[in-house]
Amino acid sequence: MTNKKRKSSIGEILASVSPKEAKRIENRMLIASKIDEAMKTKSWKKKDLMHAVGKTNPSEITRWLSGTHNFTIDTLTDLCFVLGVDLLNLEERQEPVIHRYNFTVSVTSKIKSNCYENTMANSQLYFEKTATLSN
Amino acid sequence: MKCELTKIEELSGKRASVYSVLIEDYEQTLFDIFIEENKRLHLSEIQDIVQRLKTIGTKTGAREQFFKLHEGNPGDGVCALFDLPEKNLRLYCIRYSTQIIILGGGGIKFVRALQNNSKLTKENYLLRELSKQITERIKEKDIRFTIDGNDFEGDFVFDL
Repeated sequence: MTNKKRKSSIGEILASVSPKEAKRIENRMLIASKIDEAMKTKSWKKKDLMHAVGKTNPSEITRWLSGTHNFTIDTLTDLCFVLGVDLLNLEERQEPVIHRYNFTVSVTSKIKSNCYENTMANSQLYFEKTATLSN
Repeated sequence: MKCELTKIEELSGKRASVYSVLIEDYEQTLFDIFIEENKRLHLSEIQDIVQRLKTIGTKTGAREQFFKLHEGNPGDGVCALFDLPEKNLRLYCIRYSTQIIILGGGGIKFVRALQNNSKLTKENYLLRELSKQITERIKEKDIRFTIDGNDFEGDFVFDL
């Protein structure tokens, strides 16, 4: 099946979206992501945010987080205020990438005169290396 | 019915890999068929959905908040892309963390209960079955996540 030629109009649809509309959609989703990140930092649930901004309907918060909401400047200002983040700056953050390596080290001593033999099996060393992902 | 997971390169990026399902003897994936079925009457919604998926793949990842969760069996990851306010075009997916999504089909949601809409029911149950089989493959290590978690590798052909 893998060699089958796929017929798709995704490229055509993407090309038909104006750059302005594409940016609007992207910004709505980036703002929603930033709100969610800020909530996680504060260990807030949707209800906490709802109370903080004086709302009574939890579905409104769900919609804000869905990436489809067209925020007003006033709502964004309120959110910046209660969450302590700048939601108006949508510069992409360079997130660190963490690489974890798992080594098994086995050591056998060859000194036999004093029957000294050590085996260090299954010692696991963990190294963490932090690098920055470049675009 | 034989089918295969196919990566949609147009939508995938550094944040998430986007797949759909290519059924034997068809030239289009379930997602391509969804577009074809709806682009004439709901072009703006289709444009919005495709652009959102592109943003998921390249900028944000498939964050839980962008989906309506629990649209399948418990724990099977079947969900729907969040519906636009006042709109009823629904797209079903299977979500594996923020890094992998599999797009299925969908349609217009006229009624609240899924069971009353045969088209949506069919699309939804197909993904439930696919998810079940993928879970088995992952357990048997016939499908594995790549080291960075951003992709699948293994045997992508299924019999649904």
